[in-house]
Amino acid sequence: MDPPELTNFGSLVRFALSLEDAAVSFFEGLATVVMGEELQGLVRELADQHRQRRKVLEQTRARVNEMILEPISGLDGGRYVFDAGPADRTEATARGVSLEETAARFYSESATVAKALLAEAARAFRKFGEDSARNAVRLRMAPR
Amino acid sequence: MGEATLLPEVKAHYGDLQNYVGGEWRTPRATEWLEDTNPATGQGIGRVPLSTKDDVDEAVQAALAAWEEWRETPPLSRARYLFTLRDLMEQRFEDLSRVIAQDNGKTIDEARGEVRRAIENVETACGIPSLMMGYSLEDGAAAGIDEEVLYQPLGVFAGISPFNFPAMVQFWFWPYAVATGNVWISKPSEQDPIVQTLIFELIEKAGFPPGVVNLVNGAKDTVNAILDHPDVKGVSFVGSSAVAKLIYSRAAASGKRVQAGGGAKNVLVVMPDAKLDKAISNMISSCYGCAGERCLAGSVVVGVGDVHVPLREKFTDAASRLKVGYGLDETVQMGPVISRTHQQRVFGFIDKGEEEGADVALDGREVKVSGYNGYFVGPTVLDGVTPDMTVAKEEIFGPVVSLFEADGLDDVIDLINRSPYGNAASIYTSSGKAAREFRYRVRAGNIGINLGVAAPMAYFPFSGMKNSFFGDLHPQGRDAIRFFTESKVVITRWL
Repeated sequence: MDPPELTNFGSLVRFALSLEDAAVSFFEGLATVVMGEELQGLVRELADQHRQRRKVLEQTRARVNEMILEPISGLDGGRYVFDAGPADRTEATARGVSLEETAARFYSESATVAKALLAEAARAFRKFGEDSARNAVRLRMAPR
Repeated sequence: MGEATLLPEVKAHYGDLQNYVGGEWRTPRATEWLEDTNPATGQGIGRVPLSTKDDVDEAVQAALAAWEEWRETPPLSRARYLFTLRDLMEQRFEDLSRVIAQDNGKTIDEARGEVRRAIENVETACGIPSLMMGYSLEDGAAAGIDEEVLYQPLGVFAGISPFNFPAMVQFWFWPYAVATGNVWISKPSEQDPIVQTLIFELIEKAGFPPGVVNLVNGAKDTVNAILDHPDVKGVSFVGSSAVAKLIYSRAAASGKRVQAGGGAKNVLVVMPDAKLDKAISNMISSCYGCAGERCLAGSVVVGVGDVHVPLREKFTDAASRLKVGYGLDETVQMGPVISRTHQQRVFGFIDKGEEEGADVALDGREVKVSGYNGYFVGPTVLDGVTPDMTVAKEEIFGPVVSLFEADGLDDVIDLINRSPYGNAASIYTSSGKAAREFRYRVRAGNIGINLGVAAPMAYFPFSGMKNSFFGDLHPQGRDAIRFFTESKVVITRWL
């Protein structure tokens, strides 16, 4: 993928939505590849979590306050390039970890920018960032 | 990213628009139709009927027929229709926003912000049982004689709105008019009326009784028919100052209530102690948001004292980095202006500024947007502007900013107060004293302190002074409740 252009509030949420869509597909696919009940359960849980986030993002996007819509600068899209393509069993979990780490980085860094635009967006992004950081650790620790 | 970030249009073409009168969609008697174009592509996306005097009369009669029963409907029941409409608008939020971006040209973020503001007005009007309460005083007139005031609706009101906020401005008016028991006729701008058709589909779905809220499409003759109609009790308007004054005079001459918002020439003042980087970002949004087609847009930026040089450099640099394009591309930061005619008018102002001696520090005349043949004007900065220049005095209504230099705050306040306009003014400063001085002395209706778009929320009046507003009571908030009601005093003695 090309680095996303993060120029304003809409493009920030748009990228977040594309990240969530990719994560849902990736973890749904992963559930059919990985072995072990515990890991399969975790992967399905993550697919659900990312699906829920999409709804929150859509609601957040509609709460925009036009009075304080300002151009965004300072976010380097290159830091958030991710690979959510199908993976075989050997690399699947590592790719899942990488995806969650990218999400954690994106949300935690953009929460600071979003704070000036919309409190609800900052809150959601902060929470998603924390959840993704936890998800990465859980995936890494899960029995293969 | 381009294509990848382009949102789909709700429809490519919206056909021949109709009027919504007496709870029915009707083809007006209009013999003339206008082509409504997408400002980014220049392509036609709908046809607008120029409704006639008879079409207006039909709407007025439908509204009058509905009025008595509507005013007898308890305020809480009236509010319930608005609650339903609010939910329907949330469900179609994204479609409404995309139609605005397609028809008006603003960015999708700006369009979403506009729809949000419209919904906030519906939400505020839902509080009508409290907002409309009168007051009373026992023994208020004498011992044993009580006095009370009631707020009563007047009848048929009409709203005539501009192109720059094709959804929101009607909502400054009609939710309050209808919630207070009046009946309503909307006449949206003929330049981008499509979103109102979508809104009226939701109004129909919300179940408002036939005739309570009506839509009449049209242009100047339609407006004149509204202004002259003897059964229309009041008119709400937003547009240019020249037209606002005309509307005010003509409607008032036939005994109507009028609230008429006009144009603006808003000044943003940057003091030496301002937090410059934050101020720049905010000013860019104020000056170039909605391509400068906003009556709260900053159009003159004044640096006080030493701040002028870094202000000029940073402001011009930030403006030059704005991405111009089709508003449905989510990475675009500024869309086109409304029409080819308006684009040429804005270019004319830039030419004039250059002729009169301004330095074109950033020139938007040559902007090109790959793949689009629309009405684009790039962000423009004119430096070295002096108060006598045309660009310093007249409303441009485009993405053109005039930079001034001033010695002190007194000079800037004088400059603002000399302007015939009084819509908005903002100051960027860390000094409470300077902010207080500015707030106290400036003759403008909406004041921003470290904020470049001083846009009042639905529960506050959208103010305006001098030639930026004609009338007494402003749209939104408590002013709106008073505008749409008459005070009746009852003095009671039981014998």
